[in-house]
Amino acid sequence: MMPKKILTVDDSKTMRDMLLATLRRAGYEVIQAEHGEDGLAKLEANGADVIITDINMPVMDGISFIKACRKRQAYAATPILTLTTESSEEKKAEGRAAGATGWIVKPFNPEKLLRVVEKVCP
Amino acid sequence: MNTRRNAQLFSHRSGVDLYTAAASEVKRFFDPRFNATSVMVLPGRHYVTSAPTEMVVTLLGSCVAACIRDPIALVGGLNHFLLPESDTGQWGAANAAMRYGNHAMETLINDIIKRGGDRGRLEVKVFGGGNIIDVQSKNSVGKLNIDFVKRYLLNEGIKISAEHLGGSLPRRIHYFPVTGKVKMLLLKRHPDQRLFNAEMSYRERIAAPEDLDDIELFD
Repeated sequence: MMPKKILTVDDSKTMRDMLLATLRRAGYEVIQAEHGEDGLAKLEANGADVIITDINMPVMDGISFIKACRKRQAYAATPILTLTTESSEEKKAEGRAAGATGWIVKPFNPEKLLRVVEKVCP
Repeated sequence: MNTRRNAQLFSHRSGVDLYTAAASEVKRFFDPRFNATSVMVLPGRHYVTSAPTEMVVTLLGSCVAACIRDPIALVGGLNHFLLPESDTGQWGAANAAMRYGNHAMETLINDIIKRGGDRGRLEVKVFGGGNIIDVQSKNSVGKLNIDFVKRYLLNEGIKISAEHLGGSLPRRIHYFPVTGKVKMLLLKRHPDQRLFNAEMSYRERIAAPEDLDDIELFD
């Protein structure tokens, strides 16, 4: 069976490194992007089974990225988890309205993150 | 499983929120010596401002503080943290120490960006990491903190413009985020037992850092 593909979108290389280590250890294939626009390009090129995105990013932020994914038919139903330092109810509501599947507040617990990914992964 | 598809997904947060400082917890007073309003940052906290009259102050033992600002947007602040002692392991291995340190840096940087700062313009000065607790130890807590902050900034492609790290004396940092000026005082060893005590209690608090465990799956 082909490993499931996860696209991680975060402007911090350290975060991308930590996600890569966590997800690879669990057998996922990981594709990395630095911001929303980069995420859309990587999505077009590689596809993804699950997307994990930061919210505060340069060029294109996470909320705009989620909206852009939902506008594309191929990714209208792809699970999108946010992974962010934002924990306010307003931001969460914004993420939910944009089409996010779930909201995870950093710092993340690797085991819990993996359980959520496994749960939403089609 | 801690994620439930319902509205009350937010699990209990541990008593002390080690990661963020609410505005109400900030202690400030006017300091006539500097003709500025002094804002004290305690271990595990950070503070960001764009007020030219504010001076951010922190006392460092083996903890480190990153003073970060955007010199164009004129916004900046500092954090004050140390890494919990945890499983070591590879950089990027997402162990507790790395996640904690990463969070301390990221929350500060994000707050600066949210107030108009630009990631590509950040000016960074780092201080602290003194070997004040376990003076005999070579691989001191201070050194681990120094190694982390340097490695983090290198990894993020952010240059350090000034640093004063290591040694065996505590430091007092006065940072003016709008001008970027730092006044640092090296303190005689433990002039104030409270610094030592505050750091020890902070170390104990984060010895087994709890993740905030804030996960919500929307319907």
